[in-house]
Amino acid sequence: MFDICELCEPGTLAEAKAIYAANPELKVIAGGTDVLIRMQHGSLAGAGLLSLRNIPHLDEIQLLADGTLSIGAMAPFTRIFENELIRRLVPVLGEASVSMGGPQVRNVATIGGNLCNGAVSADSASTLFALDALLKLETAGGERIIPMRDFYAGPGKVNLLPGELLVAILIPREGYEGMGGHYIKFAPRKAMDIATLGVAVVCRIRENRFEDLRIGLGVAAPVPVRCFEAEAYAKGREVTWECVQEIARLALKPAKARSSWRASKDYREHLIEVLAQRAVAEAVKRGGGCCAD
Amino acid sequence: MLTKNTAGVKARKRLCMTVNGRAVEIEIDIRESLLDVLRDRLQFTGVKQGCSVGECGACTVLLDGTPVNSCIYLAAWAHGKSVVTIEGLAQDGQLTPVQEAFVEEGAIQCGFCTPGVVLSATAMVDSGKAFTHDEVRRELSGHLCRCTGYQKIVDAAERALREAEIAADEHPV
Amino acid sequence: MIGASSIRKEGRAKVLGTAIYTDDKFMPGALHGLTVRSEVPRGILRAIHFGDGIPWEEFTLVTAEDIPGTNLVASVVDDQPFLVGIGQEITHSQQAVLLLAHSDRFLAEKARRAVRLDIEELPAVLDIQSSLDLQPLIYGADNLLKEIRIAKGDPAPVWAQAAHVIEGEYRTGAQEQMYIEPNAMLSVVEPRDGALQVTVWGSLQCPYYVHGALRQLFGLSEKQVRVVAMEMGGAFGGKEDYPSVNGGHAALLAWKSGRPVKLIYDREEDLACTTKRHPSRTRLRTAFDAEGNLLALEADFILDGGAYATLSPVVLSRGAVHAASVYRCPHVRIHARAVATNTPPPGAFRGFGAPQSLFAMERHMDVCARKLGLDAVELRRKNFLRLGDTMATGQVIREDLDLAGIMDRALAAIGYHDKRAAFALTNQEDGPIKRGVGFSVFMHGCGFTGNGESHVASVAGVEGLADGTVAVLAASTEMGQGKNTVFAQIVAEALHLPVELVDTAQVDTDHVPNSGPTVASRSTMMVGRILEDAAIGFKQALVQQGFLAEPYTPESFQTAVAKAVAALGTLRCYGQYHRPPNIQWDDVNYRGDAYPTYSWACYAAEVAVDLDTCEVKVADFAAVQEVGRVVNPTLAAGQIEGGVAQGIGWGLWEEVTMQRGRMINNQMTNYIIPTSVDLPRIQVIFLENAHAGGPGGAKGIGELPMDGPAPAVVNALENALGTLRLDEVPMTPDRLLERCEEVTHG
Repeated sequence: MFDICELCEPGTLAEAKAIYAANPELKVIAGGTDVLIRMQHGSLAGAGLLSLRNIPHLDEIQLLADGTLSIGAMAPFTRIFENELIRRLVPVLGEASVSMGGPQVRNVATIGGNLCNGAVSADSASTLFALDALLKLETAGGERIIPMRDFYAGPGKVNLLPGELLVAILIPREGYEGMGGHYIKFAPRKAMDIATLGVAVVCRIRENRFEDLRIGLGVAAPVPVRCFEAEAYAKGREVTWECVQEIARLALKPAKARSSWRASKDYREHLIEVLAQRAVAEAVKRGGGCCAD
Repeated sequence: MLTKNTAGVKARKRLCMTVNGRAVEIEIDIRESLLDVLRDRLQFTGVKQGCSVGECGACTVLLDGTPVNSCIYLAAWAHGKSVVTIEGLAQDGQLTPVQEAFVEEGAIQCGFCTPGVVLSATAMVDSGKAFTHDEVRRELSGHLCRCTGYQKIVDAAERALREAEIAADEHPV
Repeated sequence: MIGASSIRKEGRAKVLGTAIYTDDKFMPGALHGLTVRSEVPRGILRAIHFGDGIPWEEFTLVTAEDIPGTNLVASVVDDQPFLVGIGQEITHSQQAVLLLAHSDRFLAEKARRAVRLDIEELPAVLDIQSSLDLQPLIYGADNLLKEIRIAKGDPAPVWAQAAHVIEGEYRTGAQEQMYIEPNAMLSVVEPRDGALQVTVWGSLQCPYYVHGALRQLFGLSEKQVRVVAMEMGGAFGGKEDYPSVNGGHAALLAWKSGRPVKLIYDREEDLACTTKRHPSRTRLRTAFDAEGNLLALEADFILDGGAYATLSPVVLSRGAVHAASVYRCPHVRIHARAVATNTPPPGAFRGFGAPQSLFAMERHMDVCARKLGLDAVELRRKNFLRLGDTMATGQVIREDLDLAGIMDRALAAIGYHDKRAAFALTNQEDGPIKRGVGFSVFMHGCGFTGNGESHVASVAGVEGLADGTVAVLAASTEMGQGKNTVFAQIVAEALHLPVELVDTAQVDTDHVPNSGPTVASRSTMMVGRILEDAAIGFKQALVQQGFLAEPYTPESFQTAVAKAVAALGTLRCYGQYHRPPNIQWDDVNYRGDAYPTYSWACYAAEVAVDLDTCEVKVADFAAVQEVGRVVNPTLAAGQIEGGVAQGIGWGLWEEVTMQRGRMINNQMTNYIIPTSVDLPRIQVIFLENAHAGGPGGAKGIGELPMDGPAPAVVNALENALGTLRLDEVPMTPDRLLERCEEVTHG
């Protein structure tokens, strides 16, 4: 039994937006695998829930006319992992999707819920950060599209306006075309674990030079971060081992690792460098490059 | 549609779903999880509660054929859906091939994780897909077992998949 | 038959979902019980405040003041109260103060959160060293729950003369049993014939322990208490002594309310407040001659026993006896102590002290081999116990013991020598993955230590049923280990019947005799042996009374039993434990035959370590054990596979993190046990060497697999990474990185 005071189950997006506009104190629930667990631990006591489950088309994955990949916020992770478009165009997101939770959780947990929960450990977050994804947000009054980097306000807090719903995640063609990517989730076990660290890398290689490199880190700081210094360093440089190692060293810059039961600060920082190096090396390989010595 | 709570009155909702092939219509409290309804209202005590936070998989049921943790699934969401619990597998006391495999391979010790993992294995077999050894382990990774070390559970699932493949070859649809 | 992989008796019910665990038992009108606990590790309880907004008049409330009999849990030492009363001392965080019950579980949870305890805090002892230093004194005269000394020969003069003296300190952390079914109790208390009748149905290993505890709690006679063991979703020792506590709590609420009460712990509560494996600290000192013969051993073995004695005296005993592992040593001093701390008392967990002391000795042997410049295999080989040698307590090895053979078999199964040579080369290459192989050789005493079996004087029996089949009467409980099936096989073999004609009576103290607790790897060997006698006696009674003629077929046996039951009403035959004449134990001086026999084993592990992340993967594992006789190969293999998984978990991942004397990682998300993708395929090999005292020659195997994996894995880590301070479990990646950096930074 959950401490819920009401459950709203609108059948259309318009209805959902209207209810949310009139009742902005409601808690939006998608797959439930974050919200209900938090309630089990005593948070959100007495909350009223706005469930998005019954809204059609909110879970669809499609390629828009201009080449933008649109992922419905209610798409569960199993669907994302198995989807043809994702596998073909942005497999690194599939990698992140299959790394979270276990099969039963992935069958129900949604990418939108994962993002809006604001947890810095969200496996999709660091990946979407690296992909420069855009988020389509709608209210009863209108819509806006914001980049991922503007979505996180602080630990566990996201920049959603009152009455605003995340409707889709958009990855523009420039975000995925010709990219090689790799996501590494580091956790004590190989299943069912929250990430101790998440590293997502996408890169575009041309003539064995970094034409573009983007690195997203999860759990390295209070919010997911991009490693801009490392990315700036890489731009235009030839792909060599020294280069990759320097990128990894610079990847530490935005990190503000904390000690917790999961790992000490020293260990985390050590991991960031090591895993950034591995993720970059693998992303380079998938992008058609080669780390010569 | 709003199912609003007024002071002192638990919010109720009419839930219509199919459980193990039979239509069920009951009034539920919106606060109830699917696990609460299956165990406490419908007496499907084969669905187990191990952790209440979707971590151990003991509460797994098949929702429209897909394994989900019923402890973190609102009962209200099962409206219009089909639910299969462990009690819904055997017909007239005849074990399914997956159940037989678990019994014969020694994949059952204390039995508490068994209903959940048998349902996940059933979903794997029913999917008709092929799974490598590593994929079998991954598909079952949402079930914590403390007794078996998973070895015989994986053996049983692989045996059931092999037998299903053979049966399909013999009786192509 | 013994030796056959008979199908698990209750397997069908379990796979159908019809097996009834405690919370599945339908009890209309049952109230939901909850427990209010201290969050303070030590202090004086001054008051209980009931918050606003709760209809308290609807609740059943029980405090220490309500207890009708004795507010002490019957145990080895009766020092633990069921509930702490006003003005009494709180001695650990999570200690129970108030019980409450209501028909609405949701409201009951709200009520629990609305209770505030007023506790005047006192300084607490939260670790072994503080306890030893009496900072402060919290228990008895010296903070000692139990002390044991084992002496053999005289090590004192040896240290100065020995070619090599090597010391080491080893630590092991607490471990949570993590049975998938949390602790659960259901109780009904009714007046009957002017007196009370207390009934408890529960997830419990030892119905007669709970029976005795309830009698003492309520001040009742034997017939006034009934305990029924339900299907159990795992236990591993975690439901050995704790059920006396929660069984008592459920019964108190049932008694006060006059209604049935279900007391089902949620996972977080179960992890925070129930028993765990004792943390340990072992200091070893060993003397060797120039050739590597072990001349003397001194062990200082300390367990953190928490706030009350509970099972610490017995855990300490087993740990102490196993401290010298499988080696011949003429001069031994083992000083074992269980110290009190203000933490929730630990209890039983598979292995029961032996994993702790064996980790130390088996790690130490590898350390010694390295320091002596000898091969770890050869150092052990030359020091193994053999027929005629004496163990630390003076127990003489009377069986044809071939530890070298067991070790060689395990090493061959894992490809030890080839891999060691290969890895020595590949580990020198660049690349972050380093590989290693390691092993441990160990034993596990079967049955109770010392005079335990004589104390319990177990009784078990066999009963004829109206349909001509036979039922086993024993208090042993099924927790997944296969007791139902194995007992049926033993009795079926004794009676020359197919196993289908033998089953097990429900474990109900109204109906089954006290065959002792289901612990100590004793059920197959000790209770099984008694059942053999009872079965033979049963058959003889049938023959003597003219119902049955020999030789007989199963059909004629079945007919005979049906006829006898129809004629006589009941038909039961019991057997009782008798100590074999050649077993002697001096409990005062701790000398003699500590166990009737031992199972012996060697476990070998291959690990791959990622030097950058310090993640450890167990790539291969071989478990070789000599267990007397394998009663059911499939069930026995299952026991080993599961035990190895738990041992690997303890060695690499499972850590209890304490803060203010309570476990703070008390969820399945942050206390992590292995999943299906974390473990390798485990090779299981059984060797047989029939033991006369066990049915068909069987010894015990339940706990054995817990003793070997942790030292084997950590020894493999040393092989992979070189000389590091690998003296502790769990050796998590964080800790491993720290140890690697100790070397890098000097």
